[in-house]
Amino acid sequence: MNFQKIDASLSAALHGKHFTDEPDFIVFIQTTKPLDDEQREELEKLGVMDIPVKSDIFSAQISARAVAEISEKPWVRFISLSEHLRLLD
Amino acid sequence: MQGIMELCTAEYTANQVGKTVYVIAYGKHPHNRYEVELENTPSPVFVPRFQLTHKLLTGKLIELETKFAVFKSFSSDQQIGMVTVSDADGEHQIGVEQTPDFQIEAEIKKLLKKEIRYDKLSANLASIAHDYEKGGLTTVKASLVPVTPLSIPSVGGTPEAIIFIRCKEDAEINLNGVQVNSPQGEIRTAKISLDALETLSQDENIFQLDAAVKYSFLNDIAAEKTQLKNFRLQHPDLNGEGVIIGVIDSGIDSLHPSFAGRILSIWDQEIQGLGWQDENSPDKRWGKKSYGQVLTGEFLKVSIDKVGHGTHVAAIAAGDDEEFQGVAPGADLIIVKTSLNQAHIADGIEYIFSEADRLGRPAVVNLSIGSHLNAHDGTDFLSARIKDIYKRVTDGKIIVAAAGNEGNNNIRGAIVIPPKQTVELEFAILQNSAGFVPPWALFSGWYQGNTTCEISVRPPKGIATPYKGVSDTESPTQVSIVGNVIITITTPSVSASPNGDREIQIKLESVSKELPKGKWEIIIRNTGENEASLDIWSMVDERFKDAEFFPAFKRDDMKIGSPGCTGEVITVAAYTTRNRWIDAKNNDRPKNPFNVDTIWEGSSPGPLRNGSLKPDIAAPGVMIISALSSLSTPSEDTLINQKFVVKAGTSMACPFIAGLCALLLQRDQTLTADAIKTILRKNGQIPEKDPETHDIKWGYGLVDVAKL
Repeated sequence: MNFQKIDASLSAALHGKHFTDEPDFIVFIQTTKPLDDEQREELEKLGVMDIPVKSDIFSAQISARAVAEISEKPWVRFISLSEHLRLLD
Repeated sequence: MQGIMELCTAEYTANQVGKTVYVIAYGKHPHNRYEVELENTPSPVFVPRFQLTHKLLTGKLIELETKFAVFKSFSSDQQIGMVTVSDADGEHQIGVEQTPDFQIEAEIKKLLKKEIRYDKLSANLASIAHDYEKGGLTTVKASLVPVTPLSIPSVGGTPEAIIFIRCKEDAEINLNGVQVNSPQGEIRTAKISLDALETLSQDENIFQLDAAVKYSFLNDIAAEKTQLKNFRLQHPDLNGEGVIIGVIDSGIDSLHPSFAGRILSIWDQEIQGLGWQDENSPDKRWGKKSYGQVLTGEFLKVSIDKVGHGTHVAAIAAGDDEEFQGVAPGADLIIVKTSLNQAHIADGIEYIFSEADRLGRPAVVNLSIGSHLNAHDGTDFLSARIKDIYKRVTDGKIIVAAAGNEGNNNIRGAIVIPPKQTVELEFAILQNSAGFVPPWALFSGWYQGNTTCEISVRPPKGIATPYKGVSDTESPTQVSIVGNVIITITTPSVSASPNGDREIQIKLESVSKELPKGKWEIIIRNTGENEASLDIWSMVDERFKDAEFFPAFKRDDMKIGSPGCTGEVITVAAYTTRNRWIDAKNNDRPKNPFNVDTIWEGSSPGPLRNGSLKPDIAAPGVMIISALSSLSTPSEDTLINQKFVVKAGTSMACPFIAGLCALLLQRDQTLTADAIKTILRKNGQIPEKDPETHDIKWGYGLVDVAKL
């Protein structure tokens, strides 16, 4: 796990968790540039499906183990836990 | 005065203390203004075209209500005031002055037919009935149509009116000429033939009948304050037709008549289904979303809105109703019922823009949602996704977001920590008015990346946790248990932060039901060589009272979270146009703390943490009457009738601007977000300030729609 790429919310959510393959985390992944085919394939193997083309930021629902592996990819900049918002009435 | 008297008739019955007496004056002059001098009255009474009803009861003078000059309930000694109704730009403004010597002494005249139970009729409906009885169709047409949704047959037939019926909850109302819109309920609406009024009023299960008053956009007031009404008169062709308004929210009541035939699709993200596949753009730029289900046609009703927020918001932007019309009633709607997860909201924006592109239409997305778990500078990941989306859309795609409702909430703190020093930032965990204390609290703080701080937390009367410093290689999270509280402190590397600053996150979770009340301390030790300025925001479960910073640390700015802080979106503050309304049970519902005709105190102020100016513009958001989802359960005092409810917040201001964007996009489909921001900036106005002046609460001020 490369903690230098993981934001506070995701770090806290991962803390103390067993690294299972359950896709428990909805995250944003930001890459250094839009992915090439090989990089897309690597992410697909880790459960990141249907990545939009020409995009360097996308979301995915993945496991803690996948977070750890993705964070080690040199072309991944940040991984952030996707939080819930509130209605503003 | 004599000349004017010739144009009018004034008939009334005299009072007997303890009984209800009606004084009805009505005019036949084609203009909106009358002066009618009632017999034996020392003061003239100015009567509008409609009618003036003095309802004399034994109580005190309690209210002068509605712009139709319905005067209710005078004192038992019949001391009443002078009523003036003047006509300004087609609107009726009413003023009252007490004149204690004014008494009505008059002979009783048989004014009304016995058969109609006038004691059950509101003044407005009584006047309709009276005119109809007295003069038939011609009189009704001449005197009442402008204020009442009255349908006049062109050839023969009986006029019809839309009315409210207050009755026994289970009353069966099956009468010729009466179409009741609901089989049950204490307050119902109905379309009736005026000939049926007599039978209807005599029904013992029916207590009261009232004509539904015809309002204009957003129950009139918001439209007046923003000059939307005048804009529509000047541009009758602009109603949003051809434009898509996307609403990402709690869903929609697709069966509500305000949206009839104009919901193109609903992506319900919360039901299991096939998701959504971008099959239409040439490069499949949006990919596939493998959750939820897209619904169209007869399947729209599968998706429901139990919260009611999305339905209310959608109708402010695009509702089409005779009484409560939205800003762009000709626009089509695409709805995303969201889980409120940021990633899904971003997916929803992509869905709406993709569909708009497929249909070759401009679109505006409404986001009446927000969060403070971010740096408040537009660098969070939802903001980043929005920026990325804008790289891939054609012109004519706009996103509007609410500023937030924390203007009065003490949720933001700040403190400066000199290098090599330790400071304590104090906040309080409090109980709410019902005596409950939140079970958890969360803090998100940010300081410069060129220094490092260690963080500790001390509960009331407890020991402090160990310090947690910044770590680049190990988990940045430290969990401590102090008393019955789990305290999680996370201090990630600066590398993990898109804005180059350092984040600290503190979560307090009670292992019992409640956090300890009282003074808490966040202890911050600056171990670096540079000064650290910490900006921090608190969050608790929204059912509870906020965790509040002590006065020395409290700040009243920078309360616009994501997505309102996104540079590309139009961020909307809320302006107060109303602080009272009449609920479905005819109770007066004042909201006294809300000052009218100014910015709402609860509207979240900017600027952003990086100094960027937000919000962008202000629009009516308090208290706005709009569509009620039939499956929601609002509090009784907010119910206007079975179809409409009143709500407040920047959530309600946001769709006003979304609707306005739809009107502008109808006029020019190529407008960009920047172009619309410029238009709004130039046409906003803060009272007593120079044009294009920005304020952290007002933005560039209340939008003046007439100038657009």
